[in-house]
Amino acid sequence: MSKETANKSRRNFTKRLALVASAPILTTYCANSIPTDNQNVEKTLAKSAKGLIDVIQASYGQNINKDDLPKIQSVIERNLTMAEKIRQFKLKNSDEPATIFYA
Amino acid sequence: MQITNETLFSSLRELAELIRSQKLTSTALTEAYLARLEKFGEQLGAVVTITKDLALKQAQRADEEIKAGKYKGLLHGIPYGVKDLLATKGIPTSWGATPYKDQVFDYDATLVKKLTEAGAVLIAKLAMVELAGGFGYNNADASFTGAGRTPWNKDFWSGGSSSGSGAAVSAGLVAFAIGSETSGSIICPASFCGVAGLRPTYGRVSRYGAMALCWTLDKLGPICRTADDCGIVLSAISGIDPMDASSIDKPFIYNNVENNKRFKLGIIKDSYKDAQASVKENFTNAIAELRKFADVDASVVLPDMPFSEVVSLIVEAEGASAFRDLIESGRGKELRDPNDRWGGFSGTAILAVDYIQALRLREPMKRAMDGLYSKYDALVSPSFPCVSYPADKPFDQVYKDIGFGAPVIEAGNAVGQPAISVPNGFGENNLPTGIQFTGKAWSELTLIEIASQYQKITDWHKKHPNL
Repeated sequence: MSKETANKSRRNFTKRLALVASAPILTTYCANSIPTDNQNVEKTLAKSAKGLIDVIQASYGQNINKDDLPKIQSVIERNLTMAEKIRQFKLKNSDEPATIFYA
Repeated sequence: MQITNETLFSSLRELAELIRSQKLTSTALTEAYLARLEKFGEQLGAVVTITKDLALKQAQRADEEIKAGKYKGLLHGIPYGVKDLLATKGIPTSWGATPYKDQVFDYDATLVKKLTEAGAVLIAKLAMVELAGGFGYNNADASFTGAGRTPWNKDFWSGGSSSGSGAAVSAGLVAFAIGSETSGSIICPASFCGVAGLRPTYGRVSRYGAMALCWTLDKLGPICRTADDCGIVLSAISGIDPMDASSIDKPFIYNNVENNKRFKLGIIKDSYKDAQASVKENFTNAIAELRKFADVDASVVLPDMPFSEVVSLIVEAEGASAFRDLIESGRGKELRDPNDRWGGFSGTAILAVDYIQALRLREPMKRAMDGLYSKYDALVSPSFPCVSYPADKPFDQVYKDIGFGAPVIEAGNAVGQPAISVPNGFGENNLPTGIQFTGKAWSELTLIEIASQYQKITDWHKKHPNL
């Protein structure tokens, strides 16, 4: 196992632990399980993450430590990668979101 | 009668019989648990508030009622604790987090009301990971009360996010406890503390009065010393509630599990191949025990669907909304774990369409999981791939060779299915391991029957830590 793969797998495990111990950022695990050989997709996600971190900075910048911005951006990238993986699962128009609202 | 440690580690049925027959008063039992809570609660990082005055009042009332012949049932006069995310009138409810540590509600959560009606005695609000772990913590020390510690080895974590609930039951500080699970928060501490933990079907137990981390995934459930105890508590706390639109009218009626039927179990084959050696060994031994009362298919594979991704996106998005006030106020910096101080921001940037897409996937996932479960009474896997983590090291710096394998916890939570974890042995550093039974929605009774059968032929649940 290469050092990079080992590090990724380590991050995977930690994120899974965090998620299953009630939630947080299992995200890297998920992100790493997505095929990442499509450079266009990667570039698009990185660009989108940059855009979203700008939005976060504009909204909450005064509350964010600058050193934490790269960490937040990397979680955003993971979230986008996860969303991409979810999007790859074909849904029908009739598949409704599982929400709770009763009129 | 004299109350010994053995008394305090008794099962709910044993304690109930002592109280019903008036060999033991609720007041005496409550005082004994209170003394133990005061002695060990803080060193285990298990307690936020000891509700002594309320407890003694409730215990005295229970004694008077029982003396007057008005015995209410198995929980009457039994002392318990709740995770400190359940609202209790006039008593602080901290959500484990500094920004909320002085928060006081003027009402009781439905679950607390139900336990009060059953005659149970609330003796403590129990510690938890701040905000139930919603912001991505990476340390055991992620609560304003400090790290929760497993009573089996206090250098190690009690699990999360229901840290205090697991530790308090394991250490005999309460007769039973209530935890909550969004994705793993009952199963994890149950495994790390060597006790039984039941995650009910989503909708089985009202969430009214519980801190919301994730409305569509949060569940409340019991953490107890046996599977049978979990059934007793679940029958008291379940039921429809007009205050919680997600609660369902499916009564859970529970009596003693006495049947000896043969079950059909499926082993999730990818759930333990990369687990710690002791976890693998204990799991393999447990399967040999299960074969005594079940037919076992060892080749089950979960549907290939993005369970972890769906749960993660939903938790992040709903968590960011639930705690938007905190995020916007800048008071997130007061959280204990360094990751939690910035962990909420990314959730604010999840696109609505991505969140909704994740919600839309839950029905197809449910159909796929229902199809799988139609062949089995339950699926079986290790509760966790490793024993507990050191309390003083970031999670990402230990157990470097362990893999989680199949996303059993995430799959069950994504589709709202129940699970129960019971202890199945010990591993590194005298730390417990657990075995997990998962089932289709509303199959708690079957899961309890299976776990109880397992506990009838093993004695892991009868071992208690020496504090």
